[in-house]
Amino acid sequence: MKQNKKMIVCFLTPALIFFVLMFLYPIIRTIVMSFFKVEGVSDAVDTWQFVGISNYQKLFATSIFQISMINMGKIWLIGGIAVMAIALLFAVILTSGIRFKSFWRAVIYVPNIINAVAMATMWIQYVFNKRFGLLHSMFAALGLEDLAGIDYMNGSWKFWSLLIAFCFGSVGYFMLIYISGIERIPQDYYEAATIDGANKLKQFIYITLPLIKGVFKTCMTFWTVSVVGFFVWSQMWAAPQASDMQTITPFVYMYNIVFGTTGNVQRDAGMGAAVGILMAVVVMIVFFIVNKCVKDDDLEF
Amino acid sequence: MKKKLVSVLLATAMIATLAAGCGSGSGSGSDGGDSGSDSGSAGEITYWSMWNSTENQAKVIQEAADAYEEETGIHVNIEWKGRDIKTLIGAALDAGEDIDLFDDDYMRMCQNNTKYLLDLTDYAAEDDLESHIMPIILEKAKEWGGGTLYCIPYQPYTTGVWYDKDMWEDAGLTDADKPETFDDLLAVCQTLKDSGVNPMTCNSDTTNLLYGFQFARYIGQDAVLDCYNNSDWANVPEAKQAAEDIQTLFAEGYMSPNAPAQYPDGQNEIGFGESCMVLNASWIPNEINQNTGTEVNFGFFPWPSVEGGVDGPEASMVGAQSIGIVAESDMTQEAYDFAKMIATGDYDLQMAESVSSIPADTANTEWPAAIAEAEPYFKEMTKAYDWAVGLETNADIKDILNDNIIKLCTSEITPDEFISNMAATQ
Repeated sequence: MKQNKKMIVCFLTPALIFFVLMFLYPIIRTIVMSFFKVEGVSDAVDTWQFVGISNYQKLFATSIFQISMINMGKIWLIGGIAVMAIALLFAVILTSGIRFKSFWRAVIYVPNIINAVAMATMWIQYVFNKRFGLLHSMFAALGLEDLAGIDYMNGSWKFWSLLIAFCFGSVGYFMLIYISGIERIPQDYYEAATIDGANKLKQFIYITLPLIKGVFKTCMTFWTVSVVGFFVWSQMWAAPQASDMQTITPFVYMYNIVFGTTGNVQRDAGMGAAVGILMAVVVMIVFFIVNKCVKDDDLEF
Repeated sequence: MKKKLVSVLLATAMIATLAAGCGSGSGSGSDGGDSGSDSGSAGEITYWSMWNSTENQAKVIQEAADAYEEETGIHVNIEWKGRDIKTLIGAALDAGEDIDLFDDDYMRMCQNNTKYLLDLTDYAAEDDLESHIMPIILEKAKEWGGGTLYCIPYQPYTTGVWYDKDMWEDAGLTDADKPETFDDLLAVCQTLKDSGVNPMTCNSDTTNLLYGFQFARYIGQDAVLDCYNNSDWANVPEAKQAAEDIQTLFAEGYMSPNAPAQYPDGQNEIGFGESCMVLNASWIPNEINQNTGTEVNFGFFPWPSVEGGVDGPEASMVGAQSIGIVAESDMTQEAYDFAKMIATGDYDLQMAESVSSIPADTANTEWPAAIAEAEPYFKEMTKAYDWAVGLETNADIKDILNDNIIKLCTSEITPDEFISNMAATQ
C-alpha cells in the first residue's frame, strides 16, 4: 500500500504541477484581473489599477452586453428546445429498428465533422444569399415574391438565420448521445410493455424518457457550455465586421473589448476578464439548476 | 524492487518529456525570435507581418526581403501572421519574443503599441524620411504618438465614391456632372436611374460609411464623435437630418434593390454592370475587378457636401498600414532600413501596382490606373476622418448603430425611431 502511495505521488505530481501552471494560474489571474483596470491582456501586474467591482457594474449597464446576453439566452432556450427535441426524436426513430440505421445516423451526424467556418459559409452563401440562395430561388420559383425578397442576412432576420444554421449542425451530436443512452435500456422492458399493450408513444413516455434522465442532464450541460462559448458562428454571420448586434454573444463582445476591432483601438482586458468570469458563473448556475431539477435515480441508463 | 525502479524511471521520463515538450514549445514559439536574436549577430532580422503569404502585398515584401538580403547579407525572417497580428503581437512582445519589426494598421500601431516601439524621429531625420510620407498621414501618426513618430506608414488609403465611368457616360453624364452637393448627388442618381441602372449600391458592412459621411458633412467629425460617445442624438438635429438623407437614397430607388447586400455582393454589382456607384475605400476598385474578373474603368469623386454643412471634399477618411521597429531589438538600424525599403521607392510602387493602392512614397507620383482619379482630390485633402468617421471607435455602441442604420436603409425604422433607439443606448 505504501508503495502504491509513492507511485500515485510519482505519477500525479507532474500532472498536478502542470494543471496548476496551465489551468489554475490563468483562472486565478483572470478572476483577479476582473477587479482591475487592465489595458492589454499581457500587461505587467504592476500596471493594473484596482477598480473593485466597477467592471461588473459597467458591464451590466452596457446596452450591447445586455443584448449579447439576451442573444445568448435566446440561442440557449429556443435553440436548446429545438435541438434537444429533434435530436431525441431522431434518436428514438433510429433506435426503433429502422432500416439503414447506420446510414441515417451518419447523414445526420455529418455536419459535426465539417468545420464550422465551412458550414457557416455554406449556409450564408448557398442558402441565405439574397440573390442566389436556395431560399430565394425556391420562393421565387414558387412565385412567392415577398418571401423571395427576404434578406436573411440583415436586420431582424439575421438572428433567426444564424439560429437555424447552428441548430442544424448541432442535432447530430446530441442525437448520438441520446442514442447511446437509449440503446443501454434493456429490450426486455419494451417487450414486456408491448405484451401489456403499451403503444410506442406510451413506451417512450413511460420507459425511455425516465430512464434517460441522466443523459438529458449531460446533454443540457454540453449544450450550455457550447452556447456560452458561442463565437465562430457569430463572427461568421457578422463578417467582415467583427460583430453584429443581431448575432453578438458575450464571448464575441469579450474578444472585441480585449483586442479591439477595425476602427476601434480601445482595449479593456479587465472588463474582458469580468465577461469570462460571468460566463463561468452562468455555466455553474445552469449546471446547478439542472442537477436540482433532474434528480439522479438508482434506475437509469 | 525492479518494478519500483521501472516505475520511478518511467515517472522521471514522463517529467522529462513534459519539460522537454514545454521547452520545445517555447523554443518553437520563439523560433523566429531566437533566430532573430542569435542570428542578430549572424545577420538576421525577424519581421512579423500582418499579411498572409498568399497576398500580393506579401509577395512584394518577400521580394524586398530577398533583395535586402542580397544587398546587405542580412536575412529577413518573415512570419506571416495575417490580421490576427493585432491579437498576437502584444502578448508575444510581453513574453520576450525576439521580434525586430512588425506591421499593423497605423492607428492601432500608434495608439496601442507605442510602449514596444522605437522612437523613429532621429532615424527619420537622418535620411529625410518625413519628406517621403504624405503630410496628412504623417500628421495623424505623430498626433496619435503624442508628437513622436513611432512608425513608417505605407499603403495609404482614402475613401470616396467610386463609379463605373462607362456606365456614367452611357447615362449622358460627364466629368462636369460630378456632384459637389448632396442635391447634385440626388440629381445624378435620378439620371442614372432613368438610364436603367442602379445608381448606387453598398454592402451591409459599410452602411455606417454612408451615414457617417453624411453626418460629418453637416457638423464635422469631432461633433459627430461627441454625439456618438455621449448618446446625445436627440439634441443634435443634424443626426436626424443625415438619417433622413440616407433613407431618401433608398426610398427613392437610388440604391440597388439588393442593398445593403452581404459583403461582397453589393460592391460586386459594379463589376457585373448592374450598379454604378459605391462609397468605399480605395481598395474597392481592385477588389471588384478581382472578384468579378472585369476591368471596370473607375472614376472617383469625394462624398458631396451638404447645405449648411461644415465639411466638404477637403475632408475624407485617410488610413494606412504601418511598420514599427521594436525598441528592444538589437538590430534597430537594420530593421529600420528594411522597413523604409518596403515603404518607399521601387517596392512601394510595386506594391501599389500589385493591388491598385495608393503609393505611400510622395516621390512615387504615378498612381495605378484604377484609382488614378482620386489623386487630385487626395492631394487637396486637409482634414482626415477616421474609418467610418469614427463611428466604429466605441465597441459598446458601434454594433447597435450599425444595426439601426441597416434598419433605416431598409425602412424597418423611421429616422425618428433611429434617433430614439440611439439615444436609448448606453
